[in-house]
Amino acid sequence: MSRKVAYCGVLTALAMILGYVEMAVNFNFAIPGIKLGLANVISVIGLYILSPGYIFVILISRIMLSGLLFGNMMSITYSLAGGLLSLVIMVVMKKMKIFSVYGISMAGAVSHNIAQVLVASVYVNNIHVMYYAPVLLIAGVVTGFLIGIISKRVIMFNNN
Amino acid sequence: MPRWMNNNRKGTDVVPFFGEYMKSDERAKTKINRKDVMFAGIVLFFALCIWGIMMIIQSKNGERVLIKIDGKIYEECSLSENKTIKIDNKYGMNVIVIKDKHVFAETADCPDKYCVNQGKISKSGQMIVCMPHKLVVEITGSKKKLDSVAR
Repeated sequence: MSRKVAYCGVLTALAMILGYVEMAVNFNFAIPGIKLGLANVISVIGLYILSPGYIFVILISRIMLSGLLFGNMMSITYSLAGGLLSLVIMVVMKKMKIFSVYGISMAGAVSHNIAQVLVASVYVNNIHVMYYAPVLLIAGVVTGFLIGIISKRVIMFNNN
Repeated sequence: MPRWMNNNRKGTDVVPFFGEYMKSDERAKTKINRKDVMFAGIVLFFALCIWGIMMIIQSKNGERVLIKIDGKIYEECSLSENKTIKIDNKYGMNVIVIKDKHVFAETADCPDKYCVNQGKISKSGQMIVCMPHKLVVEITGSKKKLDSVAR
């Protein structure tokens, strides 16, 4: 138990740092609004070393903390929607046991992007914002694959 | 070569710096498999289909510029006139420029400047979005075509 709580703390801190690194370095993919989502590595790793409840705690505390430190109310709602949907999808896909870490992280990235474009279109009150969806789907597959590579390298060291 | 750079981890004598090495059956699950590729393929196919449909819709040159704030029309004008529109309300400030049948956001007081980075648009169906200011700049065809595109 205490070991898992320690894991939670370490992973939350790591997720916050990864999110901060991404903000500072700005990996641009030529299209505005698309980023790598390094903090998602933590959710994917968490799936393999902790039970889903802990990952939800990590995700929510990470988003609240970094939102309060660096962002505002809008960025919190925005990333909470993306994060929660992608986590639910990833947990379900992990339970299905037919996808590897690559598939899980791709699904996470794609659903994260879908949730964000949905929130965006609700926020600006304009359904036409959904025109961005195909670009975001493709971007989700690419970034999800990259995140999968990183997560795989870490999961290889898992001893649980 | 340091231990963590060693890619050939088949032998159990190689002890990673963080815990024990995963058992082989668990490791198999982290290899990319056919289901993953199929998943990626389906998503990409789906996205390309929507994109193709969008490209057909967007191939016409636009005629009208619609500026909407929070879903309500703030200003509507023709794409062929040269005009600078300054929007300054409780959400923030944006400067939208219509020039040579192209629309772009010149400046904004939001921190991320996504609307400025979105560049120039000229085709019907294209848009510039400024999330924090709830601002959407859309280009539409002529008024009659608008309904057939929107429905």
